[in-house]
Amino acid sequence: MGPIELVFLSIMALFGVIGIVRGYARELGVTIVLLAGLLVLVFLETELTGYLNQGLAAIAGESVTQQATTKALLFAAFLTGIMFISYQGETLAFPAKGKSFIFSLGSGLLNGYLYAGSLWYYLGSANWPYMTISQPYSQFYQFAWRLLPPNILTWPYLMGLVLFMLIMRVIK
Amino acid sequence: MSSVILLATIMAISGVVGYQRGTRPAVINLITILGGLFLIGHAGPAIARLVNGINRAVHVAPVAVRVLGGNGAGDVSQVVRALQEVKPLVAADGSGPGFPIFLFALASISFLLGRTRWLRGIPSLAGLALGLVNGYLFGAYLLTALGLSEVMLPLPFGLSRPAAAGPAAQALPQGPGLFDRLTSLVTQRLSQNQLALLMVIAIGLFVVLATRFSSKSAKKG
Repeated sequence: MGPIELVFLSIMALFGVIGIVRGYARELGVTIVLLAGLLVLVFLETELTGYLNQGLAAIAGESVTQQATTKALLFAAFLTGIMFISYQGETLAFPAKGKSFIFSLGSGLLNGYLYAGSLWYYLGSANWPYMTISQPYSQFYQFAWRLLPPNILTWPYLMGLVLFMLIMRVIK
Repeated sequence: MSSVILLATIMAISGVVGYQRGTRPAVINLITILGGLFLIGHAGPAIARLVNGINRAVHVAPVAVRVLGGNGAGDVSQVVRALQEVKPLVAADGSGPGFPIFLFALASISFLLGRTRWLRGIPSLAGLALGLVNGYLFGAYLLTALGLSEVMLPLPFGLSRPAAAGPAAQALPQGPGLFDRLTSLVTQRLSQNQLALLMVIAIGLFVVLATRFSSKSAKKG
């Protein structure tokens, strides 16, 4: 296992601890927002590729490397921004007030997986801009790469998950 | 390296649990785990007999009930045969999963004891420190006894030994490890669509369990 994997696993673990402290009801609210944010990014990347490329070309110029770097940084900033906002507010927090240890830890880790996993994917796809990380990657890296959220969850799945979670949030 | 990560994970979980539950339950856990390790180290044969006896009883009881209940009434040979077929959990040389199961059972009992009204505590840093120690003792013994550790992990009561040379390690089947098999499953056998479906089902199931089956939310919410 290389240092980059350890960094992202540590971020996930940190989210797990945050989940324990905040409780699963609030964490699941953050999960909805993260899934919705991811849905926007994945939809943009797969269905609106033409518009995305035009926008990137306007910002970063014709260089493909520069475009990839810009895209990774913009996507990472977007995810970080919505995560910050959702952690600040409680708009979508689930009605329960419990702090069940297992569920709180689980929902924290789920948020960590969605956030850190997405950052890993977008930065890795751009060949780790401004960082000295290069191939060959470890066996664990390749294993984890296939399981990263944007790699595995296409937009129909994400939309289904967001709708499902909204329904679970509303029904008593 | 993987065993160190496993040990660190066990310690981290135990540390968080120790912090959440407070000092008193963590002390009870520590005493129980140390007691368990002492018994394994100094009264191993007696513990082995106890564990093997319970294991035999668990396996033979259904056969005995069936024989006594009339299906093959009076055929005691069936019971004797069942008794002979039971493999001991602790072998003569002390290998096998019996001792780890014994320690796990003790730790579980002390964990449940810590939930009683008299022992319940409040979150504390001392609990965190004791939880880390408990996690180390339990995890290090588990890894050593099951032959999963590549390095010698210090343990009290003379229980440290290089696992690679131990009989349990020799008994382990050779071939790809758990992680290799998992990697092969994820990277080769399952398609991206199957992985996505599994992930969606896992997330959905977790949300349902958390929102519908968390007893605390129902009481307090």
